[in-house]
Amino acid sequence: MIKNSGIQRERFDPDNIPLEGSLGLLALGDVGFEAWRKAKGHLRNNKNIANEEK
Amino acid sequence: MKKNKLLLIGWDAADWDIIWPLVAQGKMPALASMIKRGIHGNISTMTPPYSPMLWTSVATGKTPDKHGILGFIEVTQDGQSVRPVTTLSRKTRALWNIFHNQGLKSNWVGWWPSFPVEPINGCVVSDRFQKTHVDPMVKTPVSPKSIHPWEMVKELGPLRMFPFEITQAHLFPFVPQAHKVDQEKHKGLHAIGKIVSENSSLHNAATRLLRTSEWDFMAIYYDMIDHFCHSFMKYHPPKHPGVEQSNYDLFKDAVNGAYIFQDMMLERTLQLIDKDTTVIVMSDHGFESGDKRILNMPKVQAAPSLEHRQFGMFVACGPNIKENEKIYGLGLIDIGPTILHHYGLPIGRDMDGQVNLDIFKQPGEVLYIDSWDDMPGDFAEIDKKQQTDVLSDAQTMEQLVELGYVERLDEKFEVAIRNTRIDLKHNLARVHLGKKDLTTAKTILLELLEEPKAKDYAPFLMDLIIIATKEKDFESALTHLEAVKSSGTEVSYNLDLTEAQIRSEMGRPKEALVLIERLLEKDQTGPVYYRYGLLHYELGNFEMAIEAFEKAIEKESQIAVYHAAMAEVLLQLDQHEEAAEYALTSVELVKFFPKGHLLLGQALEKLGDLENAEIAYEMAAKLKPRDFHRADYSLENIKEKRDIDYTLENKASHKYYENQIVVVSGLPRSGTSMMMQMLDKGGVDILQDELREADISNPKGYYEFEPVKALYKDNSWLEKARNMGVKIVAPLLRYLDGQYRYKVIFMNRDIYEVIQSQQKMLGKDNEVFPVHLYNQFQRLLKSVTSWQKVEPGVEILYINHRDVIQDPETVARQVAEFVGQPMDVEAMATVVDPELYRNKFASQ
Repeated sequence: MIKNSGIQRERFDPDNIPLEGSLGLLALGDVGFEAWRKAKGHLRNNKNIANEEK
Repeated sequence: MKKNKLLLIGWDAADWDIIWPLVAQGKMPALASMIKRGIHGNISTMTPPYSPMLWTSVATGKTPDKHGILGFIEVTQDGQSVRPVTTLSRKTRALWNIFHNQGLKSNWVGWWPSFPVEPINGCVVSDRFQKTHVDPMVKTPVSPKSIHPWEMVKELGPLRMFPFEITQAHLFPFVPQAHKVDQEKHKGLHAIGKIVSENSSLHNAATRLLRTSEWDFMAIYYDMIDHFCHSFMKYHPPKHPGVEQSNYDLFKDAVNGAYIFQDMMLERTLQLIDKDTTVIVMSDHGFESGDKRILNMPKVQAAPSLEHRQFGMFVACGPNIKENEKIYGLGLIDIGPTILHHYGLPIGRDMDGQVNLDIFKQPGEVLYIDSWDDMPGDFAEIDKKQQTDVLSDAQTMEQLVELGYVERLDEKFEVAIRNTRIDLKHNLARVHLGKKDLTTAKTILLELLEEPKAKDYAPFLMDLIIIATKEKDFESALTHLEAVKSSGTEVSYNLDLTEAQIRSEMGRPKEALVLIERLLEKDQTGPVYYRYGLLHYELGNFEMAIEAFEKAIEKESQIAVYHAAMAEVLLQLDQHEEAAEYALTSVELVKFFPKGHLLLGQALEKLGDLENAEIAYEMAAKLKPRDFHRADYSLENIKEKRDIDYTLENKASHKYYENQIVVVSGLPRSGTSMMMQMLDKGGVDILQDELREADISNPKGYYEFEPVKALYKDNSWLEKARNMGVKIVAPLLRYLDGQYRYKVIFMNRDIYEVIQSQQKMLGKDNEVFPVHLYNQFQRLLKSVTSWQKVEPGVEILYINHRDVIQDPETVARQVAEFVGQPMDVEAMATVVDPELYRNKFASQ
């Protein structure tokens, strides 16, 4: 199940996806993804990914 | 830097019907820029439209019966288990093997199937790379055989995104009110998390390779659009009446969101290549977005593919690609050979596809070899006997189950293995059916009917109905139909439509019409309206036919046969300009559509545009096989038309054609036997068997040939009729084989007289005039006029029965001129016995 971060975005406009947003970073591919992951701290916090890195 | 590079991007299930509105709104700028710089058009898919089969056809230029990938799953080599389909099932060399052999470096990302990887010159990130577990606590390391070279795992492995990493910020573009979704009740967000993370993993690997490696060819495959469509197309606007308003409100933006995100990824990809690289973006099939959306998926194998549409999308741009043009007639099977040609490599003669030269500015000469499979040398192939770890396939299997492509495996593996074997065999039959190899398809399907424990026999029977109808074996078609009805199948086939098709082909349009009218009360879809229109056309109700075809086109605007049918009716009504427009649309949709080109030629010919009519006929004649002769005759006619004084109504050239068949036709009792006798006396050899003896109604004999009566189901005997005369009653004329040239002498007699004569012959009461028969005969005569108009191999001469009696010599001369060969006119005239005619009428 997707975690509910508690963010309320009632007025999100699907017609204007900001390139600088999370999805925009994913669209940039490896560079964007690594930057996003680093910023979010997933790599540091997630056991699964950390294990694979070893 | 490498030269002549080509980047192939696969967008599974992408469809112009969704793309064009987004492009118009500026929401797919990357694709729009490619369209502007290059070519775009429809790409036609193959049957059955299952993605692993299709993408392997792209990579091999061969149909699935030759390349061996026949479905989503396969039975393992030891026969002990099943698993998602792998490269081990492929039995021919793919482009990557050929590139390897030819010293070209190629990268392949996500290609379906490319696991286990083959050790080629380049890099393979297989379709297994991105599959991970949804549970953060379960480790799913990169499978050893999912990346080549394996050393790349250190760099590419960390680029995999896990579903649990997806946040609300990722979901909002697809589901703006994601926080309102009750995830216990609807698994939509879960699906998006999985799709987006997997496609991001592949995109990450692809962009890394684009940035850091040298390559000659690169392919990237994304399944995002397909998976979004399977989960959310039912919620796409306009609202389907069968979906809940609350779900519609939540998920209506999901499909558009997927296309927009895909375009954002394309934009990045295009940033990472140089301007001299040729780029192709294509899908393997389209996706139904209108009335044909399916809410309750039937429980048949690969059921979701029922939502796949015949046409996918194709866009290409590059130094040698034409600019700002729409391209017609692309076929998925042609992509592999066309890519080989781009590199100046030869095409295997054993490939089913052809090079599409139309896309190139400088097409060059196509080179051929017998087969790449026979070439000696290093093709980086793997030992197909090696086993893969079944457990490593669990994630893919789970996804296929979730998407509905395969059923959850039975605990008893032998059941799963049997079902898989049967499904793959059925797929093979459908491949042969798609290739119009009816004999092979039928053999396989009949074998499947003998399977003792198949889940459902109805799918086999439905395919057998198609074959039996095409072979005009209507008895078998109806038997199979009854078997489907009593099979207890869970699939809700449209059996009324099927039965209407059979009865229509049997020459029983009224029975078919009753079924269709009943069906229309509950099912107003394109195919039903199309059939409704065809039946009205057959019955001569042209206005009704037009109305029905208009509705069919309104429901589904991209079906070529609907447009062609409309063109055919409009031609009958002498609305040639409109007919030309519809015919043109039909060939724009499907270039390899001989009938569409033929109709276009006919419409242009009527408009007096002989030059373009000739081009259209030439195209139709080039395309085989069925309408070849009709187009050929049209071409011959148009060339003659330029030389001689010709009137549009006149279909009698007075020219003798080698192997022509002289047909005497008309309503029964309109003087056909008399005309046969004239031909006989005139020196034309007559095809007859003399089974029916002369009697009081025809004292000089009937001149009949027994097989004529069964012409509707067997016209193979027509070969014997070449250079001969044969009597065929009017209702059977439309079953004549288009491959021959016919000179039809049609006997016209007052219908009132005809009916009176028939009634007398049958000993019926002449006092009661059968009005229905009168109307029916009138319609029949009208349909003959329509038929001969559109049949270029048919010339027709109408002879009035009364003229024969009153002036037999003039008529005999007319007939001799029409037949185009020397005839004994005097002897012909002696046949007529005016006394007999007068006596007959005196006694009535």
